[in-house]
Amino acid sequence: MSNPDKTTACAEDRGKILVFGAAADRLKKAAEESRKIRSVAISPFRGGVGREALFGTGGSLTGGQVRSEALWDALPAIAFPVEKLRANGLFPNREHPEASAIFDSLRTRLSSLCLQNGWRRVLITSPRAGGGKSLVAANLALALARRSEGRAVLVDLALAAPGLAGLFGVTEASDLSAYLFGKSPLEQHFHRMGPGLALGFAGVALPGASDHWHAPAVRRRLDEITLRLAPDLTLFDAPPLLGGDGVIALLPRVDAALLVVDATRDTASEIAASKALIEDSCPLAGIVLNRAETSGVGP
Amino acid sequence: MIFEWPHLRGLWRRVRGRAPRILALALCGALAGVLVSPLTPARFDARAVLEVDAQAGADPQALARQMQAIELRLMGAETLIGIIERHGLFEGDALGEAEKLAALRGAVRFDPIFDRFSQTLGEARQLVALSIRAQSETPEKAARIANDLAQSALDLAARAPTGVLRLLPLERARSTYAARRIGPLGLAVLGTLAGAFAGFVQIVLAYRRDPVLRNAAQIEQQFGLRVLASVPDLRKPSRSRDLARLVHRPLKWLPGGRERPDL
Repeated sequence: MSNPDKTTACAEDRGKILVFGAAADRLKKAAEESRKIRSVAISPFRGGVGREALFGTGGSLTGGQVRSEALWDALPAIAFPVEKLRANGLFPNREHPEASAIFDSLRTRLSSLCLQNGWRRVLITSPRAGGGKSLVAANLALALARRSEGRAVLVDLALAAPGLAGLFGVTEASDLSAYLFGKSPLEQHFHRMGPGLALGFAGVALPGASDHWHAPAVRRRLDEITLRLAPDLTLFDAPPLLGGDGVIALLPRVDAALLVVDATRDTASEIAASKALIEDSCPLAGIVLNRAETSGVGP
Repeated sequence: MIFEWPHLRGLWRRVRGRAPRILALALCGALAGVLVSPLTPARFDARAVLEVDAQAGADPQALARQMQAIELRLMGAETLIGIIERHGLFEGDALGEAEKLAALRGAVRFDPIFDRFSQTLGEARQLVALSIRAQSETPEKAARIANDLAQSALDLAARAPTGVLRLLPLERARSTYAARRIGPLGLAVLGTLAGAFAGFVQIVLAYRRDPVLRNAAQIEQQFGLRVLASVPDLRKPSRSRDLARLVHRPLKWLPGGRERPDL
């Protein structure tokens, strides 16, 4: 007979199940975490999550986490030839320590900002096309995948002129717009690269994609990516800011934006205009200066 | 300074980025050249040459003075009005006498020809011939003007009281010289160059007004934004990729043309 003082009785389902002691504590904790996840699901994403939701509790898995584990396992694994990635300016490993160190540092600085501000969805854009945002987004995602723990998702939302598939050397990527418009499930469009990175390539260009970003279906699908895959960080490779209204419609759907500036081309006025557009809708996490004369972290 | 190396690189990228604009202006220039070509009057050149026979031991200064006097007389109003009347120049043009004289003076040139060999032997330069060039709208008129001036020069030399030199006809002007006129092709080339230059200048001026911020410190200073990373150019240079971009850029403006992947 256990000591009634040390026993915590928890009646669930009208007393049919009685759980005592440590098991009851775990169940309570799981129920609390489950509530947190549900509150995340029904509330807007902006600034609504805490440290535990971002980086896990270290305890037992919740129902949502179990489902995301299963989904990650169900995603088709994909491997890329390192030489091909390298030729396209991607650094999947630390064979080139100087380049990979830049993105590792960027990853750490961005993760730190996300942790401080509760950001989970970061949009990566540039003032104009060809500024290197896909390259930065892909390398940042690869740097996130190099972590010993944690998961990240990279989605190509530059549907008018998608470039991520080409960067990774994927010749037959699916039509991501079919997923975004609710015509096919997530599992058909995302690939898993190693244990910690899911990639959503857009294989088919969709002219006039910006017309659809306001649709509730698209908004729900963007939410679903974060909910079902439950990554630490979701990166959206978005269209350029000054080329159309695509990004402007997307900005309210993310927690923060990262602006990739081409140091050989983008002008002061273009940066100022981009900054103003972003800050109208969401925080600007910072700038990545691409094609810079000097490399490194910070100024 | 705009022409520091990093700025020059930025400027070059800007020029490359605006290449379609430069090409469009060059094309407009070429078209304008072709269109303007029929409007430009043809000019023909003719040349008569007189031999200068100086007396042995003649004072070079006296020689020069006599040549100068002949040239002044030839360019004088009396001589030129005579030429205008004899050859029916400027007929149909609503020009006053002063304007006709100025136009004819602008179409005539005297070039002294010196002996090259005397110079190599260390002697003073010797005037050996006088070239008289004339321009007109037809080769025949140009030749007639040049020959008329040459004949006038002969007459003036013969009548000179201090005859330290003698002029002799060496070469008569002929009407077989090619037209000194820039053809449609030449004007098209000039128009292309002018258009491309105008486009380039416009880009340079725009660049000066709105420069590229090329390092993190400049961005942080100007906008107060944090620069999370500075990434060098990571992609391996690829000529085929550059060529593909060059081909793709104009194609995307065509109906149904797809934008190149936005990286």
